Amino acid sequence: MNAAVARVAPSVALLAVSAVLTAVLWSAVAGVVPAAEADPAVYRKTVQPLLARYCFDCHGPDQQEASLAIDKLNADVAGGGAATVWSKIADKLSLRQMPPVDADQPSDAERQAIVDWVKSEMARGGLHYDDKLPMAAYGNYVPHEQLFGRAPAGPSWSPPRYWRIRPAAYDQLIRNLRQRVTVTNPFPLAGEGGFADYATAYKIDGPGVEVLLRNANVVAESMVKDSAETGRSIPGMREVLLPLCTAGPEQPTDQQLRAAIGWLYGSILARDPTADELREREAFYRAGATKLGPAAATRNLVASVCLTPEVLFRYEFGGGSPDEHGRVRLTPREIAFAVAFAFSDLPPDAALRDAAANGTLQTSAGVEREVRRILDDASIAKPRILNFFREYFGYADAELVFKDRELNTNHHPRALVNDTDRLVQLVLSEDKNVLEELLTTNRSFLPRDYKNELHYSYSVPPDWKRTDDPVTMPGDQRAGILTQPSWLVAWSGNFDNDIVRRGKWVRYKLLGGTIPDLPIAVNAQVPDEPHNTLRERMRVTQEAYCWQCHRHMNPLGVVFEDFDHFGRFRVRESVQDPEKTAKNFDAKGRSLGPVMRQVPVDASAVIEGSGDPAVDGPVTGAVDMVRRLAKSERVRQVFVRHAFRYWMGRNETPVDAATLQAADAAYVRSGGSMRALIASLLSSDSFLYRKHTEQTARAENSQFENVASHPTKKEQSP
Amino acid sequence: MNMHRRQVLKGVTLGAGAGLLAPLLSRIEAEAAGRDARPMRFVFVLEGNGLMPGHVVPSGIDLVGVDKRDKFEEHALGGRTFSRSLEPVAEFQDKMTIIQGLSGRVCGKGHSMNLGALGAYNSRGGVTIGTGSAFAETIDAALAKQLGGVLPVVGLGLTDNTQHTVIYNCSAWGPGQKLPTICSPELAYNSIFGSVAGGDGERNFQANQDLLDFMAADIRRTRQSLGATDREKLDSYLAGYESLRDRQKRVVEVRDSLDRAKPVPDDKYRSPVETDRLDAQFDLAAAALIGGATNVVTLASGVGDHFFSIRFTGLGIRRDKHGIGHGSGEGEFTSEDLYHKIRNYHFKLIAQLMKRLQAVPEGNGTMLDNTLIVYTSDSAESHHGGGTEWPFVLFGDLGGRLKTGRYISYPGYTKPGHRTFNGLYTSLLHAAGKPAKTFGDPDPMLRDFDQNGPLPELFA
Repeated sequence: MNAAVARVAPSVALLAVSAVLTAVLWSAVAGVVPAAEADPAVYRKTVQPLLARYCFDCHGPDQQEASLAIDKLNADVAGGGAATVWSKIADKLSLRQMPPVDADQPSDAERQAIVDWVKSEMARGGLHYDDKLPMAAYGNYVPHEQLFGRAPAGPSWSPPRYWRIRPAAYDQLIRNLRQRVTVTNPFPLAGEGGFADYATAYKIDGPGVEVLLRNANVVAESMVKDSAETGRSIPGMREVLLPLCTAGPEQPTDQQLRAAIGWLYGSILARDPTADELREREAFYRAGATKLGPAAATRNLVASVCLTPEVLFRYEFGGGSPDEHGRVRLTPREIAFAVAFAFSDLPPDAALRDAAANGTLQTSAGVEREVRRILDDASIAKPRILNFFREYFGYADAELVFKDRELNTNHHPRALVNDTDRLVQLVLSEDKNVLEELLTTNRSFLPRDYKNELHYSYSVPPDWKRTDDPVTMPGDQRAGILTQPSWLVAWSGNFDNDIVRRGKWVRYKLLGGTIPDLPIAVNAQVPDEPHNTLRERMRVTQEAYCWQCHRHMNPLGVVFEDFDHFGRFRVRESVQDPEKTAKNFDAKGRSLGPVMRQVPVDASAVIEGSGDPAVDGPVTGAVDMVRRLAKSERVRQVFVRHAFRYWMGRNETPVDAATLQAADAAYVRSGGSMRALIASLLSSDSFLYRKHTEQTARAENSQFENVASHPTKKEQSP
Repeated sequence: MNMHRRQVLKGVTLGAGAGLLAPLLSRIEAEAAGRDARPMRFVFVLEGNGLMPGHVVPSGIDLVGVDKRDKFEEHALGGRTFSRSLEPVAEFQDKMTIIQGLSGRVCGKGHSMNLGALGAYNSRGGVTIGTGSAFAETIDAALAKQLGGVLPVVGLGLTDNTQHTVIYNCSAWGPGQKLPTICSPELAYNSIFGSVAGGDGERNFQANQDLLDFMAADIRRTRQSLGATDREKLDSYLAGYESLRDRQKRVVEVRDSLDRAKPVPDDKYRSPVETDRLDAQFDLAAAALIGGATNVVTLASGVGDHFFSIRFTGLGIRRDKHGIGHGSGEGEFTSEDLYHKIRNYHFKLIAQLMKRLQAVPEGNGTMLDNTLIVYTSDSAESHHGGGTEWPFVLFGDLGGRLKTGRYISYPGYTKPGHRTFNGLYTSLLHAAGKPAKTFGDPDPMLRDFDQNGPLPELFA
């Protein structure tokens, strides 16, 4: 049931689906990949030969690995009852999990041909195939070599897109209009397995619309009330709204009404309305005023501007005529918003708006100048930069990991997160070898607010003196963020370390590797064996079937056994002593509880398959491993890939090679400056240019194509 | 979905219970043909921190460990003394079914199975707050799809923080589509009864209608001017308005009954005391059902990570439920005493709800005759539940479809004849006229067991 196949209809959550509505949704699907007759010829001519060549050896007439015989699958993808299997096949191909590495590999175009066919066949039957590659958790599936291993094949660009604004930007928008109203934020931010704010990740559906509508009404109500009664106003509001909500026979005049609409557009969208928009909203107000009275009409007018798509989605479509590569440049207004939102949740400041107006943003150098201005101006808050590191390392989740208080009353996760925030900010302020420093520094901030308790988390002596300066920790115990208690807690369980998730983190975030999704049928649990260490209990993952994935995670995670699950350094850990526990009874024969014994910690591991030969080999523990990783070129480039994802709001593709290589070079050239890296990304072609992908172009043209290629002929499915 | 009902029925794997199910199936067929159609409603009551099997065992019944339960058992409830927890519902014993021994290990383990409790799948929450994922629909949503209703599912909840006005803790419409649990009774009142709330109600309702129309047109214009690129996003936004318009129309249809049923939002709707707010939520649940606003209500008290640390100060208990779950008592009361005290309050509210439904005539009987209340915990059998067993208490017989007045106990986990709670949810779907083969994910540790089909033992 976690499969990629999902009927589209349920996106109207909460609501009964009427026949009319279903029709709307189905045409929506058709809009993406338009409906067409099945074309068995495509399967016979294009798809079947590829499957025969690359897949049938193991999943064909002679052999049926995993009980799968692709030659026998009904090629009527949507209607033949095998849609789930076909979408699995498409996943395996696009994620390069099949064919196995030692078999003949199809070319990229051949893989795509099969995937495209599955997708369009499913769409034809009203089913939706979710492409995995654009999802945040699958960013690493583009092979590293295609991005960094060769000279870029051409210039970079992004697809045109809507990008739903972030929850914080929505809050900011409401706050700018109304200081005192409180509204519910309608937007979830999930970010499972990657960065939270991806352009492709979020739609606004039924429940979201409900909340938005409620909020818009609350805001509108308050603006009308304050204009008409209390007079509490933001600049300009009362003057323009009052004539609307207390209309008499003479007013509002057309001029007053247009002034009000203009003011609303300026305050909410930071632009003037177009002539069409003016006309539509004038008519909306006039009709409402006649029917429902002026106050209700004004409320609706205000709400309608709050709800217009451009408020809730950032538009990144570009404008003007295409260049020689078929790309269009974002408009100066779009660039100003994109740059502003790269740093915070506020709309562009005055200087950025000026730059948009005076043509500065029309060149990449001009954009870089503006980006540099913001980066170098300490008085401009740039919370999105710290947030990148919070999301990349995930240490802020320490606050979300539930720990039973009786296990450690000195655990204050918020303070731990705060310490790491300060460490990141310190390294950013130095702006030198930022990644290496973050991975290896043995400096640490210690909590200011919790008396002396927290020295436990950092294993410093009980008599440490409180200081606002960073403290130098023993270099054999701590090296960088991955040894900070915040990170260790964030990647721990409720009662134990989490070797698997930590190892997966290192594999994914530092080495750029991939791990297949957890098979649905697996429900293995680490055994409850209080007499064994976690490392010993993890032996269940060494069964051959499990180990093919766990070998890529466990060695990278087990090194953190140097710490307990509160992030305290340790050289010994305690396990139950079964013999003494068995004898631990009082005179009446009641158990007096478990007896523990101390055993030495074993945090050693052997790294393999990292993608960088200098990284592979045995390590003694966490500090040893992260110091080695910090020197790796591959780790640096993977970090650049992640920065790209965060600031572009999407996964990188081979088209982005030029942008990525330039960003990496800028970082190296500047001696590891984060500012240089960000400036390079935000003035890159991937950031500034838009081009229709083949798929979107096909979607727009295909109705025409379909008519041309196979008009009404209907054939039997093969 | 489009398959003919008769075909579906023939296709269902019935396993051992085929004979027992025959009358039920013929009734579903009869209903499909338009005979004997009756309204049907479901109320799910989830309480956090575990439903210990021993808490719902009436006098004279021996509860042995799950590893010693070798066969299916059935006991009549009549004439027994109820536990401290169940005492408030004793008067409804002939409408009641206590079910022991079903398992739900597929959901994982922890303080809460989050969406797993109603979804019968592992929502992989538990380590961090709110990370439970909606991998598929939950049973309340599945039933709502079958039964329709102006508001398909009304989710009402309780947390220890009045700032949590809306949370997403236990229900989902489908993959990636969590359903809201409204924890502020005031907000819930406005959402359900806003159109008949009085004052400028009528005018606001009309204004809202106009706004929906205008926005739908506004989005269509945008879509036209920007072309097909990335259009799914606008289509989804538009569909949101379209469906709200559709709902508005249906609200108009039930306007009068909503108006008659609407509760009076008094102080308990805003109270800082948890018991008051929970009382208000049950109040709203009754009114929403009686007013025809919905056919499915989910009430979630301290449910989901990490809302289980709730305090019931209104019952004179200062200690939070998480502490109680870890064995802490308070004053003269043991942890066990406190558990019973809190659970007793929940059953008091359930009894109240049943009385209100019983007071409304419907057909030849009352609304209660056509309503099923399902009580359980989102963390199964204990504070750190593992789902090896998952007790349930049911009230109602859905117009005679279910056999009641009984305590039934299934063979323990991995014993022959053992059943998972997926079977219970499948049974609810069957009772609602949707003969699904199964619901949720099967337990991979029970590969050799038949996990499909309903539980024939439940049906009359």
